[in-house]
Amino acid sequence: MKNPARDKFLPLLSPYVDGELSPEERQQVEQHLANNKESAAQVADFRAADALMRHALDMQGDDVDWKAFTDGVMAQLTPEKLPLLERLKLTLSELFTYQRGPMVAAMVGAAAAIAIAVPVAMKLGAGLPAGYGADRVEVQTVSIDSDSSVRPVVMETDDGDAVIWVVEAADRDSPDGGKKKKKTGDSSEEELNQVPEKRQGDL
Amino acid sequence: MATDDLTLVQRVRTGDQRAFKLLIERYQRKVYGIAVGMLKDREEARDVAQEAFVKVYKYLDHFKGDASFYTWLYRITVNICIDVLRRKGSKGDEHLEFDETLAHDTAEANIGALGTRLGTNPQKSALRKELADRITAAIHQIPEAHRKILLLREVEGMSYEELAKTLEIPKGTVMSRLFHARLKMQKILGEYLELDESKAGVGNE
Repeated sequence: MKNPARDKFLPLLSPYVDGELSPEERQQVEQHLANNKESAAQVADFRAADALMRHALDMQGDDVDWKAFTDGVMAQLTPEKLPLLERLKLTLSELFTYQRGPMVAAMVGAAAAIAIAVPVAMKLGAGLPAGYGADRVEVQTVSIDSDSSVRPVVMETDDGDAVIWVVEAADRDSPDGGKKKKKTGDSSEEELNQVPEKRQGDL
Repeated sequence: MATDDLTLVQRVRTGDQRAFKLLIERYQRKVYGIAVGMLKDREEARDVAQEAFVKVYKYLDHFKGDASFYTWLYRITVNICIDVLRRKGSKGDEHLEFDETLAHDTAEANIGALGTRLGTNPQKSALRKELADRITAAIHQIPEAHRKILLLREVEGMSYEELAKTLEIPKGTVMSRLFHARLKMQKILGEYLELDESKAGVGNE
Protein backbone atom coordinates (compact mmCIF):
# COMPACT_ATOMS: atom_id res chain seq x y z
CA MET A 1 0.00 0.00 0.00
CA LYS A 2 1.30 3.44 -0.93
CA ASN A 3 2.44 5.51 2.01
CA PRO A 4 2.93 9.21 1.03
CA ALA A 5 4.77 10.03 4.28
CA ARG A 6 7.24 7.20 3.74
CA ASP A 7 7.79 8.21 0.10
CA LYS A 8 8.49 11.76 1.24
CA PHE A 9 10.98 10.80 3.93
CA LEU A 10 12.66 7.87 2.22
CA PRO A 11 15.32 9.98 0.36
CA LEU A 12 16.13 11.70 3.65
CA LEU A 13 16.94 8.46 5.46
CA SER A 14 20.39 8.13 3.90
CA PRO A 15 21.52 11.69 4.78
CA TYR A 16 19.93 11.15 8.20
CA VAL A 17 22.22 8.14 8.76
CA ASP A 18 25.16 10.26 7.59
CA GLY A 19 24.28 13.17 9.91
CA GLU A 20 23.97 15.52 6.94
CA LEU A 21 20.49 16.93 7.62
CA SER A 22 19.73 20.33 9.07
CA PRO A 23 18.43 20.31 12.68
CA GLU A 24 14.86 20.93 11.44
CA GLU A 25 15.01 18.11 8.88
CA ARG A 26 16.49 15.77 11.45
CA GLN A 27 13.65 16.49 13.85
CA GLN A 28 11.07 15.81 11.15
CA VAL A 29 12.75 12.52 10.17
CA GLU A 30 12.90 11.40 13.80
CA GLN A 31 9.18 12.08 14.21
CA HIS A 32 8.54 10.07 11.07
CA LEU A 33 10.71 7.18 12.30
CA ALA A 34 8.82 7.10 15.56
CA ASN A 35 5.58 6.56 13.63
CA ASN A 36 6.79 4.38 10.79
CA LYS A 37 8.36 1.01 11.64
CA GLU A 38 9.27 0.28 8.06
CA SER A 39 11.38 3.45 7.76
CA ALA A 40 12.93 2.78 11.18
CA ALA A 41 13.89 -0.72 9.99
CA GLN A 42 15.30 0.80 6.82
CA VAL A 43 17.54 3.12 8.84
CA ALA A 44 18.72 0.13 10.91
CA ASP A 45 19.49 -1.74 7.69
CA PHE A 46 21.46 1.16 6.25
CA ARG A 47 23.51 1.39 9.41
CA ALA A 48 24.10 -2.36 9.54
CA ALA A 49 25.11 -2.51 5.86
CA ASP A 50 27.51 0.41 6.30
CA ALA A 51 29.13 -1.22 9.30
CA LEU A 52 29.38 -4.59 7.55
CA MET A 53 30.98 -3.01 4.54
CA ARG A 54 33.52 -1.04 6.60
CA HIS A 55 34.38 -4.07 8.67
CA ALA A 56 34.67 -6.41 5.68
CA LEU A 57 36.96 -4.05 3.77
CA ASP A 58 39.05 -3.41 6.85
CA MET A 59 39.50 -7.17 7.25
CA GLN A 60 40.88 -7.33 3.71
CA GLY A 61 43.73 -5.16 4.91
CA ASP A 62 44.73 -7.79 7.49
CA ASP A 63 46.26 -9.91 4.75
CA VAL A 64 48.56 -7.18 3.49
CA ASP A 65 52.20 -6.90 4.52
CA TRP A 66 52.14 -3.16 5.18
CA LYS A 67 55.87 -2.83 5.72
CA ALA A 68 56.51 -4.36 2.32
CA PHE A 69 53.81 -2.09 0.92
CA THR A 70 55.50 1.04 2.31
CA ASP A 71 58.94 -0.15 1.23
CA GLY A 72 57.57 -0.87 -2.24
CA VAL A 73 56.29 2.69 -2.59
CA MET A 74 59.46 4.23 -1.21
CA ALA A 75 61.56 2.18 -3.63
CA GLN A 76 59.68 3.72 -6.54
CA LEU A 77 60.34 7.29 -5.49
CA THR A 78 63.19 9.13 -7.19
CA PRO A 79 63.89 12.32 -5.31
CA GLU A 80 66.01 15.03 -6.83
CA LYS A 81 69.58 15.03 -5.56
CA LEU A 82 69.99 18.00 -3.27
CA PRO A 83 73.26 19.93 -2.80
CA LEU A 84 75.43 18.69 0.07
CA LEU A 85 74.66 21.67 2.30
CA GLU A 86 70.93 21.25 1.76
CA ARG A 87 71.17 17.53 2.51
CA LEU A 88 73.11 18.27 5.70
CA LYS A 89 70.49 20.80 6.78
CA LEU A 90 67.76 18.32 5.96
CA THR A 91 69.43 15.54 7.92
CA LEU A 92 69.79 17.79 10.97
CA SER A 93 66.25 18.99 10.55
CA GLU A 94 64.98 15.39 10.33
CA LEU A 95 66.97 14.44 13.41
CA PHE A 96 65.43 17.27 15.41
CA THR A 97 61.96 16.56 14.03
CA TYR A 98 61.76 12.79 14.38
CA GLN A 99 64.42 12.06 17.01
CA ARG A 100 64.04 15.13 19.20
CA GLY A 101 63.95 13.16 22.47
CA PRO A 102 67.02 10.98 21.84
CA MET A 103 68.89 13.95 20.37
CA VAL A 104 68.27 16.16 23.39
CA ALA A 105 69.20 13.28 25.72
CA ALA A 106 72.42 12.66 23.78
CA MET A 107 73.35 16.35 23.87
CA VAL A 108 72.67 16.60 27.59
CA GLY A 109 74.77 13.46 28.12
CA ALA A 110 77.64 14.86 26.05
CA ALA A 111 77.54 18.18 27.92
CA ALA A 112 77.60 16.34 31.25
CA ALA A 113 80.55 14.19 30.12
CA ILE A 114 82.51 17.29 29.09
CA ALA A 115 81.67 19.06 32.34
CA ILE A 116 83.08 16.12 34.30
CA ALA A 117 86.01 15.18 32.06
CA VAL A 118 87.61 18.63 31.69
CA PRO A 119 88.12 19.40 35.44
CA VAL A 120 89.28 15.82 36.06
CA ALA A 121 91.82 16.03 33.26
CA MET A 122 93.07 19.39 34.53
CA LYS A 123 93.43 18.04 38.04
CA LEU A 124 95.32 14.96 36.87
CA GLY A 125 97.55 17.04 34.64
CA ALA A 126 98.55 19.31 37.53
CA GLY A 127 100.08 16.39 39.49
CA LEU A 128 102.50 15.25 36.79
CA PRO A 129 106.24 16.03 36.91
CA ALA A 130 107.45 18.78 34.62
CA GLY A 131 108.33 17.42 31.23
CA TYR A 132 106.62 14.12 31.85
CA GLY A 133 105.05 12.74 28.74
CA ALA A 134 106.61 15.43 26.60
CA ASP A 135 107.57 14.47 23.11
CA ARG A 136 111.21 15.09 23.71
CA VAL A 137 113.48 15.62 26.68
CA GLU A 138 116.36 17.94 25.99
CA VAL A 139 119.66 17.74 27.85
CA GLN A 140 120.55 21.05 29.39
CA THR A 141 123.88 20.25 31.10
CA VAL A 142 126.22 17.33 31.58
CA SER A 143 128.49 17.42 34.63
CA ILE A 144 130.87 15.02 36.34
CA ASP A 145 131.43 14.79 40.01
CA SER A 146 134.90 16.09 40.67
CA ASP A 147 135.64 13.24 43.14
CA SER A 148 134.73 10.45 40.78
CA SER A 149 137.27 8.84 38.57
CA VAL A 150 135.37 8.95 35.33
CA ARG A 151 135.87 10.36 31.90
CA PRO A 152 133.14 11.48 29.57
CA VAL A 153 133.12 10.23 26.02
CA VAL A 154 130.85 12.33 23.85
CA MET A 155 129.65 11.40 20.42
CA GLU A 156 127.58 13.64 18.29
CA THR A 157 125.06 12.17 15.88
CA ASP A 158 124.43 13.59 12.44
CA ASP A 159 121.12 15.13 13.50
CA GLY A 160 122.75 17.06 16.35
CA ASP A 161 121.91 14.68 19.24
CA ALA A 162 124.63 13.85 21.69
CA VAL A 163 125.56 10.31 22.88
CA ILE A 164 127.52 10.45 26.08
CA TRP A 165 129.35 7.70 27.87
CA VAL A 166 130.77 8.06 31.26
CA VAL A 167 133.75 5.77 31.48
CA GLU A 168 135.83 5.03 34.57
CA ALA A 169 139.40 6.11 34.18
CA ALA A 170 141.56 3.08 33.38
CA ASP A 171 144.51 4.32 35.37
CA ARG A 172 142.57 4.41 38.64
CA ASP A 173 140.67 1.87 40.81
CA SER A 174 141.20 -1.46 39.07
CA PRO A 175 143.66 -3.01 36.65
CA ASP A 176 140.93 -4.01 34.20
CA GLY A 177 139.61 -0.50 33.96
CA GLY A 178 136.73 -1.08 36.41
CA LYS A 179 133.00 -0.96 35.70
CA LYS A 180 131.83 1.15 32.83
CA LYS A 181 128.89 3.49 32.83
CA LYS A 182 127.43 5.48 30.08
CA LYS A 183 124.64 7.93 29.63
CA THR A 184 122.92 8.86 26.41
CA GLY A 185 120.45 11.36 24.98
CA ASP A 186 118.68 10.11 21.87
CA SER A 187 120.45 7.05 20.57
CA SER A 188 120.17 4.66 17.68
CA GLU A 189 120.81 0.96 17.06
CA GLU A 190 123.63 1.81 14.73
CA GLU A 191 125.46 3.82 17.37
CA LEU A 192 125.10 1.04 19.93
CA ASN A 193 126.55 -1.47 17.54
CA GLN A 194 129.59 0.67 17.05
CA VAL A 195 130.54 0.46 20.74
CA PRO A 196 129.46 -3.01 21.91
CA GLU A 197 131.81 -3.04 24.86
CA LYS A 198 130.10 0.00 26.44
CA ARG A 199 126.99 -0.03 28.63
CA GLN A 200 124.40 2.57 27.95
CA GLY A 201 122.15 4.55 30.19
CA ASP A 202 119.66 7.26 29.60
CA LEU A 203 120.00 10.71 30.99
CA MET B 1 54.63 12.15 16.86
CA ALA B 2 51.34 13.50 15.52
CA THR B 3 52.01 15.90 12.68
CA ASP B 4 49.24 17.21 10.47
CA ASP B 5 49.10 16.28 6.81
CA LEU B 6 49.92 19.74 5.51
CA THR B 7 53.09 20.01 7.59
CA LEU B 8 54.20 16.60 6.33
CA VAL B 9 53.44 17.63 2.75
CA GLN B 10 55.57 20.74 3.18
CA ARG B 11 58.40 18.65 4.56
CA VAL B 12 58.15 16.26 1.62
CA ARG B 13 58.49 19.25 -0.70
CA THR B 14 61.82 20.11 0.94
CA GLY B 15 63.02 16.59 0.17
CA ASP B 16 62.12 14.88 3.45
CA GLN B 17 61.26 11.35 2.35
CA ARG B 18 60.58 10.25 5.87
CA ALA B 19 57.65 12.63 6.03
CA PHE B 20 56.23 10.92 2.97
CA LYS B 21 56.67 7.55 4.61
CA LEU B 22 54.56 8.82 7.50
CA LEU B 23 51.84 9.86 5.07
CA ILE B 24 51.90 6.42 3.46
CA GLU B 25 51.63 4.70 6.83
CA ARG B 26 48.78 7.00 7.79
CA TYR B 27 46.62 6.32 4.74
CA GLN B 28 47.78 3.07 3.17
CA ARG B 29 45.11 0.91 4.76
CA LYS B 30 42.31 3.23 3.73
CA VAL B 31 43.64 3.70 0.23
CA TYR B 32 43.89 -0.07 -0.10
CA GLY B 33 40.34 -0.37 1.25
CA ILE B 34 39.10 1.93 -1.51
CA ALA B 35 41.06 0.03 -4.16
CA VAL B 36 39.98 -3.41 -2.99
CA GLY B 37 36.39 -2.19 -2.86
CA MET B 38 36.58 -0.81 -6.37
CA LEU B 39 38.54 -3.68 -7.91
CA LYS B 40 38.02 -7.36 -7.30
CA ASP B 41 41.62 -8.46 -7.51
CA ARG B 42 43.62 -7.88 -4.32
CA GLU B 43 47.00 -7.86 -6.02
CA GLU B 44 45.66 -5.30 -8.44
CA ALA B 45 44.24 -3.29 -5.55
CA ARG B 46 47.62 -3.30 -3.84
CA ASP B 47 49.36 -2.20 -7.01
CA VAL B 48 46.82 0.58 -7.51
CA ALA B 49 47.22 1.75 -3.91
CA GLN B 50 51.00 1.86 -4.36
CA GLU B 51 50.65 3.65 -7.67
CA ALA B 52 48.42 6.23 -6.02
CA PHE B 53 51.11 7.06 -3.48
CA VAL B 54 53.81 7.22 -6.15
CA LYS B 55 51.63 9.59 -8.20
CA VAL B 56 50.95 11.73 -5.18
CA TYR B 57 54.68 12.02 -4.56
CA LYS B 58 55.39 12.79 -8.20
CA TYR B 59 52.73 15.47 -8.49
CA LEU B 60 52.99 16.91 -5.02
CA ASP B 61 53.73 20.34 -6.47
CA HIS B 62 50.25 20.25 -8.05
CA PHE B 63 48.65 19.92 -4.63
CA LYS B 64 47.46 23.44 -3.83
CA GLY B 65 46.18 22.73 -0.36
CA ASP B 66 42.67 24.03 -1.07
CA ALA B 67 41.30 20.54 -0.38
CA SER B 68 42.63 18.27 2.32
CA PHE B 69 45.52 15.99 1.44
CA TYR B 70 43.48 12.82 1.87
CA THR B 71 40.71 14.14 -0.39
CA TRP B 72 43.33 14.66 -3.06
CA LEU B 73 44.91 11.28 -2.38
CA TYR B 74 41.56 9.44 -2.58
CA ARG B 75 40.61 11.28 -5.75
CA ILE B 76 43.82 10.05 -7.33
CA THR B 77 43.18 6.52 -6.04
CA VAL B 78 39.63 6.48 -7.37
CA ASN B 79 40.80 7.83 -10.74
CA ILE B 80 43.42 5.10 -11.05
CA CYS B 81 40.78 2.50 -10.14
CA ILE B 82 38.45 3.93 -12.80
CA ASP B 83 41.25 3.76 -15.38
CA VAL B 84 41.86 0.12 -14.47
CA LEU B 85 38.15 -0.66 -14.73
CA ARG B 86 37.93 1.16 -18.07
CA ARG B 87 40.81 -0.84 -19.44
CA LYS B 88 38.85 -3.93 -18.46
CA GLY B 89 35.78 -2.60 -20.25
CA SER B 90 33.57 -1.75 -17.27
CA LYS B 91 30.48 0.33 -18.02
CA GLY B 92 29.67 1.49 -14.51
CA ASP B 93 28.37 4.92 -15.38
CA GLU B 94 25.92 3.58 -17.95
CA HIS B 95 24.36 1.44 -15.24
CA LEU B 96 24.26 4.47 -13.00
CA GLU B 97 22.24 6.61 -15.37
CA PHE B 98 19.72 3.81 -15.65
CA ASP B 99 19.65 3.21 -11.90
CA GLU B 100 19.02 6.80 -10.96
CA THR B 101 16.01 7.16 -13.22
CA LEU B 102 14.37 4.24 -11.45
CA ALA B 103 11.79 4.76 -8.77
CA HIS B 104 12.89 3.81 -5.24
CA ASP B 105 13.07 0.09 -5.49
CA THR B 106 12.53 -0.90 -1.90
CA ALA B 107 9.79 -3.41 -2.54
CA GLU B 108 12.20 -6.26 -3.27
CA ALA B 109 14.45 -5.60 -0.31
CA ASN B 110 13.72 -7.47 2.87
CA ILE B 111 13.64 -4.31 4.99
CA GLY B 112 14.93 -4.73 8.51
CA ALA B 113 16.62 -8.03 7.79
CA LEU B 114 20.16 -6.75 8.26
CA GLY B 115 19.47 -4.68 11.33
CA THR B 116 17.60 -7.54 13.00
CA ARG B 117 20.35 -10.07 12.34
CA LEU B 118 23.29 -7.88 13.23
CA GLY B 119 21.85 -5.87 16.10
CA THR B 120 22.58 -2.25 16.84
CA ASN B 121 26.35 -2.69 16.77
CA PRO B 122 27.12 -5.04 13.91
CA GLN B 123 30.85 -4.44 14.22
CA LYS B 124 30.82 -6.46 17.41
CA SER B 125 29.41 -9.44 15.54
CA ALA B 126 31.79 -12.25 14.88
CA LEU B 127 32.43 -11.48 11.27
CA ARG B 128 34.30 -14.37 9.79
CA LYS B 129 36.88 -13.92 7.09
CA GLU B 130 34.80 -16.00 4.74
CA LEU B 131 31.82 -13.72 5.30
CA ALA B 132 34.01 -10.63 4.89
CA ASP B 133 35.05 -11.97 1.50
CA ARG B 134 31.42 -12.49 0.56
CA ILE B 135 30.53 -8.95 1.60
CA THR B 136 33.44 -7.63 -0.45
CA ALA B 137 32.13 -9.64 -3.39
CA ALA B 138 28.69 -8.10 -2.79
CA ILE B 139 30.22 -4.63 -2.93
CA HIS B 140 31.61 -5.48 -6.35
CA GLN B 141 28.11 -6.22 -7.60
CA ILE B 142 26.84 -2.68 -7.30
CA PRO B 143 27.48 -0.25 -10.18
CA GLU B 144 30.85 1.47 -10.23
CA ALA B 145 29.68 5.01 -9.51
CA HIS B 146 27.54 3.83 -6.59
CA ARG B 147 30.35 1.70 -5.27
CA LYS B 148 32.75 4.60 -5.51
CA ILE B 149 30.61 7.03 -3.54
CA LEU B 150 29.66 4.44 -0.96
CA LEU B 151 33.29 3.53 -0.36
CA LEU B 152 34.37 7.12 -0.04
CA ARG B 153 31.59 7.74 2.42
CA GLU B 154 31.88 4.57 4.49
CA VAL B 155 35.55 3.69 4.33
CA GLU B 156 36.93 7.21 4.22
CA GLY B 157 34.15 8.88 6.16
CA MET B 158 33.96 11.81 3.74
CA SER B 159 31.27 14.42 4.31
CA TYR B 160 28.81 15.27 1.52
CA GLU B 161 30.79 18.44 0.94
CA GLU B 162 34.03 16.47 0.52
CA LEU B 163 32.30 13.89 -1.68
CA ALA B 164 30.99 16.65 -3.94
CA LYS B 165 34.52 18.07 -4.25
CA THR B 166 36.21 14.73 -4.73
CA LEU B 167 33.77 13.40 -7.31
CA GLU B 168 33.12 16.84 -8.82
CA ILE B 169 29.33 16.48 -8.63
CA PRO B 170 26.66 18.65 -6.96
CA LYS B 171 25.79 17.97 -3.34
CA GLY B 172 22.24 16.97 -4.34
CA THR B 173 23.67 14.27 -6.60
CA VAL B 174 25.81 13.03 -3.72
CA MET B 175 22.69 12.61 -1.59
CA SER B 176 20.71 10.87 -4.31
CA ARG B 177 23.57 8.61 -5.39
CA LEU B 178 24.33 7.51 -1.86
CA PHE B 179 20.68 6.73 -1.23
CA HIS B 180 20.48 4.47 -4.29
CA ALA B 181 23.83 2.89 -3.50
CA ARG B 182 22.61 2.03 -0.01
CA LEU B 183 19.37 0.54 -1.24
CA LYS B 184 21.37 -1.74 -3.54
CA MET B 185 23.81 -2.75 -0.81
CA GLN B 186 20.95 -3.44 1.56
CA LYS B 187 19.33 -5.75 -0.97
CA ILE B 188 22.49 -7.60 -2.00
CA LEU B 189 23.77 -7.99 1.56
CA GLY B 190 20.35 -9.19 2.72
CA GLU B 191 20.47 -11.94 0.13
CA TYR B 192 24.06 -12.85 0.97
CA LEU B 193 23.40 -12.99 4.66
CA GLU B 194 20.28 -15.09 4.26
CA LEU B 195 22.32 -17.53 2.24
CA ASP B 196 25.12 -17.51 4.77
CA GLU B 197 22.80 -17.74 7.74
CA SER B 198 21.24 -20.84 6.34
CA LYS B 199 24.72 -22.42 6.49
CA ALA B 200 26.23 -21.20 9.73
CA GLY B 201 24.38 -18.29 11.30
CA VAL B 202 25.44 -14.67 11.32
CA GLY B 203 26.08 -12.37 14.20
CA ASN B 204 26.69 -15.07 16.77
CA GLU B 205 29.16 -13.87 19.32
